[in-house]
Amino acid sequence: MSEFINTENKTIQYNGPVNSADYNLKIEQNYQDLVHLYNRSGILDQQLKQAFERVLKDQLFLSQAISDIEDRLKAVENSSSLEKTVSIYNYSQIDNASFANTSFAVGASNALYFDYVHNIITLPKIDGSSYSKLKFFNSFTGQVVPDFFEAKVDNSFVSVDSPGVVVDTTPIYHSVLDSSDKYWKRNVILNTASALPAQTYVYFKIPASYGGSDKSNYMCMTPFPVFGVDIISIHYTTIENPSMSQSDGWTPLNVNKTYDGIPEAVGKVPPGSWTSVGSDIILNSGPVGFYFPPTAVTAIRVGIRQRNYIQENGKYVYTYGLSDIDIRSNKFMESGKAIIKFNAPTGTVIYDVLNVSPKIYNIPEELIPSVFDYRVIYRDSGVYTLENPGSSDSVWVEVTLTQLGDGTAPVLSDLVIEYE
Amino acid sequence: MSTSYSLNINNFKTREPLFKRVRSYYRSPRKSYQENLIANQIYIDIQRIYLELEKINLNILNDIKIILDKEKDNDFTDLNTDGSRSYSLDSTIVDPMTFHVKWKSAASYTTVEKMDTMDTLSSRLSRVNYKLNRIEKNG
Repeated sequence: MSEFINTENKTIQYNGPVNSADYNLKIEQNYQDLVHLYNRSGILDQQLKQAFERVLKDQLFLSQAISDIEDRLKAVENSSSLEKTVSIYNYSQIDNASFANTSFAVGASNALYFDYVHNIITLPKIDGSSYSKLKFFNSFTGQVVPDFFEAKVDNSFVSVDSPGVVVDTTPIYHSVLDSSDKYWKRNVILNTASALPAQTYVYFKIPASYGGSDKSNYMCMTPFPVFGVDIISIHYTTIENPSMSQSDGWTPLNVNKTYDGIPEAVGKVPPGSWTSVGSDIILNSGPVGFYFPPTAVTAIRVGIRQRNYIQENGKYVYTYGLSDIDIRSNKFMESGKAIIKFNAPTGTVIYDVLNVSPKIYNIPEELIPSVFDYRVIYRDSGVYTLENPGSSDSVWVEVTLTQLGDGTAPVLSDLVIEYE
Repeated sequence: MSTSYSLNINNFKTREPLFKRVRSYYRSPRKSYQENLIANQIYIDIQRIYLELEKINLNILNDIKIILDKEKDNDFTDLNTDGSRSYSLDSTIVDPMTFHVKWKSAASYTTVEKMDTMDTLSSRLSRVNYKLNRIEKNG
């Protein structure tokens, strides 16, 4: 900027300029600087509008591209060589309202809770008894980072993110702040490209109970850049005063190795526990959320990896981090219901529902019958009934979820209906 | 406000300072009212530039807020009945903008009034990834 400043820094003697030429030059320079600053602010304003318009239009067509893929997937599901299937694509399919004054009515306090961001349908949540272990708020200043918040990075892996490397980072606590311009990024900057990825553990200490339950049962996070970072593992410890180092005795969050080796469960179970090491890594992860049995977690350790670099100004920059993370104690009703609507593809009808398969990945497969139940509802001459009228444009599935004996809230990730 | 006018070519706004150049010829000390007027005009101009920059800063933050929606702030974005979140293109937060789009499969133009936030787009993409993964693995 300094090259644009016209006003010269001149020392004036004798109580001010005695020469009108000097005085007029100074005034002229002041004027030119003001004109320049006014124009710069005007151009910035215009550039912002143009950039925003570009983002809006890009986003508009990105959204449409996802809609196209959703439609194509529906068509693929419906044209499977095995059975025709339909599943959940949008939570507007949860159609409790249509049954308000019928024998199938679902009361508001009994309705299953759904989280759109993390694609979770689970038990009715009791908001008043649910709270975060990492995010704190006060009524005067909004969100605060308490002085007992502790987090650290361990970059002792064989990777480009190693001790002594040049790093450009924002504070880790930015990852728990619900502010759009606050996120944790860690740029690892190299002079030459490397075949190694950047990899690190990030530790978060869970403060000792400050009232309420000392147990946690939910963890969610959004990597930065979203869909650009691998989540390689999630572990926890229950020891008192953890040192947040390798010696704390870490346990995989997926402690029971549920769905070990089942590819479709990748991304739906916390990574870092399957028998074949690395087979449960979530590559290019989007937002993820995991429910687990209530556990007295004292610290959590997340392994993240960036395999790609961006070349910036002749340097090789590996960018990763988190734009959001939370550990929560969520309280639920013991059971709940939802009625989910499934439409037959355009131009077809559903003659019979052959099978209903719940996709629940946080409960062992053999225990699913104890947490999931369903009924198929049809509409015959405007009346909802359990009797199949023979052919239907739409069917509804009444889902009942029940808490597992150890307190785990089952998470319904999808519901697949096979029909003919 | 300061004087504004638009260049026809690119519609860039150019503003002129309130402060005017006054050429001075003198052999003796200048009049104080003239000096004070100049000082005041420069002060007002600097204040205006400062406010302009503040406004730009605020606009950037507002744009980021509605697109990312990390704060889940109902003043900026709308919670839809299916749990997704969107922002209105015709709001007081951003400069009103209306898109009339003709999608490839549509017979007529659609007016787009709402846009998915990044969280909602990410969620949809995650769901699509999961379903693709399941179909690929199960055949």
